[in-house]
Amino acid sequence: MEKINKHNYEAFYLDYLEGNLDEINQTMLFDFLEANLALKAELEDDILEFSLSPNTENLTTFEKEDLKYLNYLNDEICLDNVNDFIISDLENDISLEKKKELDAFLIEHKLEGDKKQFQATKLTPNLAEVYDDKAGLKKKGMVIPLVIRIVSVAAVGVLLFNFVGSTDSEYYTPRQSDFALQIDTLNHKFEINLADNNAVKTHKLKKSKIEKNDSTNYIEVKIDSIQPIIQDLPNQNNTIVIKQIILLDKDSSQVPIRIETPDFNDAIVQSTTPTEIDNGIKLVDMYQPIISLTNSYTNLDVSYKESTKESKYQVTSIKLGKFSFERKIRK
Amino acid sequence: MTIKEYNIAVDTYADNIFRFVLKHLKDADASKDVVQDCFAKVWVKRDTIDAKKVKSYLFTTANNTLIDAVRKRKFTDDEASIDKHYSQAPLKNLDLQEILHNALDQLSDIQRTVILLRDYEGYDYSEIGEITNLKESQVKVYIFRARKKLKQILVSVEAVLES
Repeated sequence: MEKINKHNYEAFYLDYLEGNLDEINQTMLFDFLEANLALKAELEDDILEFSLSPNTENLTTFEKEDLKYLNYLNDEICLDNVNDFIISDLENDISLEKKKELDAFLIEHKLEGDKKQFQATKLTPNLAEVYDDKAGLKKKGMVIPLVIRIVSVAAVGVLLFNFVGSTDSEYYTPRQSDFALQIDTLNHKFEINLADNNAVKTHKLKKSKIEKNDSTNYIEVKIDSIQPIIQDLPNQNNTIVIKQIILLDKDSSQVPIRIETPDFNDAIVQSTTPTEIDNGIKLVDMYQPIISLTNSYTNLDVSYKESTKESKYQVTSIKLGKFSFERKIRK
Repeated sequence: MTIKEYNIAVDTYADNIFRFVLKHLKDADASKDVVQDCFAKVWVKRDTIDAKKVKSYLFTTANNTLIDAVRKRKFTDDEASIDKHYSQAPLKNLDLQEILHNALDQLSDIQRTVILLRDYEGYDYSEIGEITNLKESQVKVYIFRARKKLKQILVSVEAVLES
């Protein structure tokens, strides 16, 4: 048996009105309403318009009509229930047969006026009442589903990636504007252009600042926070091949920068073979700043790796969240 | 629902919601606020709302908002409503629909709601039940009572006009 509570007591009361509530449930209903006087008062004010009583003898005329309304459709049409049938007709609740019977009854008893009065209770909206700021409610632009949003972010990442990595000539490198090195192999003279706070600085190295470390076969050149490590290839006269350049920040933690081969072609190509150049260059995480930036903006896992396969193309695989892309450029 | 469907819903239903709310609140500005609130809720939940059911969602939201608004007003508007009752326009200057719309004020909130949804929007009993969270039989009873009350008012007004 369903318990009466504040969510269903109205349904119980309607069942009671319809005469479908047994004695036990009636007792429960009235006990509930006595225990919840606020709800009882609400029923009295808003719904019932009469005083609640477990005794149906106290029902008002209005309530009796309610009870009849819900059960009248099978009854014969008479003067007591004709209004109920008129309303049902108005609401399209009765059958065609009953409708004909009703119309005949209304003519017979000259009650067509009552039907018209009920028909007049049909409300029609006043079309002059309009909400005049629809434009303010409307939305402009496109609603981008989540998948498209992610793809868009990925596309931006790729664009950024390609923008930084784009090349006007075959010998342009992504970091050229930040870091460029010219080597005068004959005079051991190094010129490094640095972008520091967007200002290009030129550092001319004196020979005395170049220190050769025999054990590692590297030449270390120190300029402020920059520490290029340059490999001095043996058996190559006046030949220096860039092995690796590492940028050190002020606390000396390493911030690796990738230097691509073409950057140094002008300096090196005269005395080294292309193979030596290819083998001699060590590439490290040149996209780290881009990766960090993209990651911080998208909150997606961003990574990339380059293919090590022998190919005329340099293939870089970029992963942005669940999406992966490939950037392919001719070497 | 897409942005296009949302904007179509604004064009199609903003007036309907506004009229429905206005009949309850009798305050154009407050009614506009409710309309804005309803559409803001639709916009927030647009990904989960089927465009075919947006009208029902809007009316359900409007009805829920109204219930809260009317409850708040009941505590403050009693005196104002009495004054308003006596300051109504003379009956002779009103046409039938105006009389009927004024008569709406004499219905209970729930009667007014179901009769407006029925007559303005053409909803059937079950749809009104969904919007108002009532049983179909309850909706029927409220409509039945509302019609009888409106008819009584019309008859009494006609009697006044004829006398």
